[in-house]
Amino acid sequence: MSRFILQAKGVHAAWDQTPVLFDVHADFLQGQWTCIVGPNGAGKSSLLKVLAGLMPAQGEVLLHGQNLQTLSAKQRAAQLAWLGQQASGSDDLSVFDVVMLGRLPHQTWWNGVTEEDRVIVDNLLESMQLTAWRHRSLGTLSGGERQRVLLARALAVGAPVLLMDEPIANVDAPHQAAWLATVKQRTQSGTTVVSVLHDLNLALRADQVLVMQAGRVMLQAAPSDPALHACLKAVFEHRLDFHQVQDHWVALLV
Amino acid sequence: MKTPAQQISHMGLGMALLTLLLLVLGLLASSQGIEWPLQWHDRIVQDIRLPRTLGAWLAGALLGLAGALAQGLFRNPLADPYLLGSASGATLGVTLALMLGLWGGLQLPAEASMAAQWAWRLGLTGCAFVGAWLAVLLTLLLAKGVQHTLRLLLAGVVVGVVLGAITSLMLVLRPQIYPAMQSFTLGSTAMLSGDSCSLMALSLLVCWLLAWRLSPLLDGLSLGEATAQSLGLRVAPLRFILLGVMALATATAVAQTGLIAFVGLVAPHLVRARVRTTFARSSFLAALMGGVLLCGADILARLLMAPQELPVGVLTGVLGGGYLLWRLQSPAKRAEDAA
Repeated sequence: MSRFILQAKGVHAAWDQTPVLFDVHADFLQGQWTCIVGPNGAGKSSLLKVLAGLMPAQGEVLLHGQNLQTLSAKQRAAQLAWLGQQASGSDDLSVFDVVMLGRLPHQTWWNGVTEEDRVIVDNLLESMQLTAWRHRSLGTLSGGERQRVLLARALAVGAPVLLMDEPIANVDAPHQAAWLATVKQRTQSGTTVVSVLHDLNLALRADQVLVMQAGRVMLQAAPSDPALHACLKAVFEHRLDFHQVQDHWVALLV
Repeated sequence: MKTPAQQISHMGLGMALLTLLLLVLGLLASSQGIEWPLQWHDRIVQDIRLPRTLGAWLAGALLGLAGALAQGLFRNPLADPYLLGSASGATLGVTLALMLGLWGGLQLPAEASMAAQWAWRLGLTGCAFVGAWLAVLLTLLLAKGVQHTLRLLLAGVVVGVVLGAITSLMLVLRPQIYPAMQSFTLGSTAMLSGDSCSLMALSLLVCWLLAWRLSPLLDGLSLGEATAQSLGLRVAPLRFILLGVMALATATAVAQTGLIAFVGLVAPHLVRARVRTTFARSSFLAALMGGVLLCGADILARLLMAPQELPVGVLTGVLGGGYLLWRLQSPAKRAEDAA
């Protein structure tokens, strides 16, 4: 049995016949947070979609050593929660309805929402300080507020793997800190988190950083690894410098 | 402030009460105005006004549900069964059936057996369904899927125009079906029978049950196709089934009443103007709203110029178009445009 919960092996993928991923290999350990970084168009979001089983690809994606293709849509959804870049939200659904959608992978055709689902959603709304918006339509919230609700929707799945694409792009500093705390708390309880982030300073708080460029994985290493700093400098055209502040690393523009 | 659950139950209750009121009013409305007291044992009340009033409500409910499905499936508030070509397809299906003289031609003789009458109704509805379904497929094919809303709506308009032209050609070739087709294209509830009501009630039940059970797809789709897929929803097959449900609801209504404009477009809008909720609930309310709208319009069509009767499709066209124009000019819309 592999010690990796999620693996990509020799993955190639294309958008409209334009190749976007080339022979990608990546491994994700259980209970670790891996952050995917790289310049625009590096293939970060595509890799996340392939890992979530949402984009056709050649090669293998293994979940607990099992090929993702062999799982049913429901099984896959219950194991892999995905949070995409969201430009707009539904005008019709309330915050409660949106978060409840996260429980869909656990519901059957004829048995809808259960009491357990309600308890999970209520607890999530409370822990993420969303209870006051419970009845508000998602479309009436600001971009940052909406992202918090959509994060709650992804967490409501209760999946062992959480994949997030730019989850805090519009979120203010206090809620970025809250997001970081949520991720740390989830990984401590065994959830594997893979996220795409543009903010390198937040990315350097992850357990592992995976650097991509032009559809290829350049390096996967810990934030303190000097090889990672060298790789990031090269990928971002030597416009970065790395410094240690207390117990973590920060990237500064030069 | 009311919670969404309270708003929904109040609206549902209001629609149910309005339905009861309209059903009674429909039994009282005669060519001479309102007849009071109700002569329940009168054959006209039992054989004509009852199926007509009930049938108008059922056809409106089917169109309201089809409109909610179209707007949910295509994530576009402008989508309605007619804009996607399904009504034109259903009309062409009915025209072809009448032209080919299937199931006994335009109308069965009064002495035809119950089985023959049912076969005739089912046959017409079947032709309308196949026509509606093929028209929607053609629209989707021309639009290369549902991703590009503008392309989809334009494709729907093109399909509607082309199928309408083919229908006109059929009418030129077989002018003897023109009288039947005229009341069909104007939209009429005058010829509704008990059989039509049974068929529409059955279709409404089936369509609503399917829409209700498959509604998580439409809620998931409101967050984007990828999110819906990530939640384990099999988007393509479920969308295909829901398109079939929309075509069935439209076709059943169109085969019994002809083309009745705007009910499918306006009913979901009226619901969404008051409550925002999951598709399962909003589609149920849209069906109730559609029923109330068409039943009300039918009674108005009977009374406005009594003893002469207006085709109900003309009335819904004028009222529905007026409502949408008013919505376009509403302060909220103007603010949205200015933003």
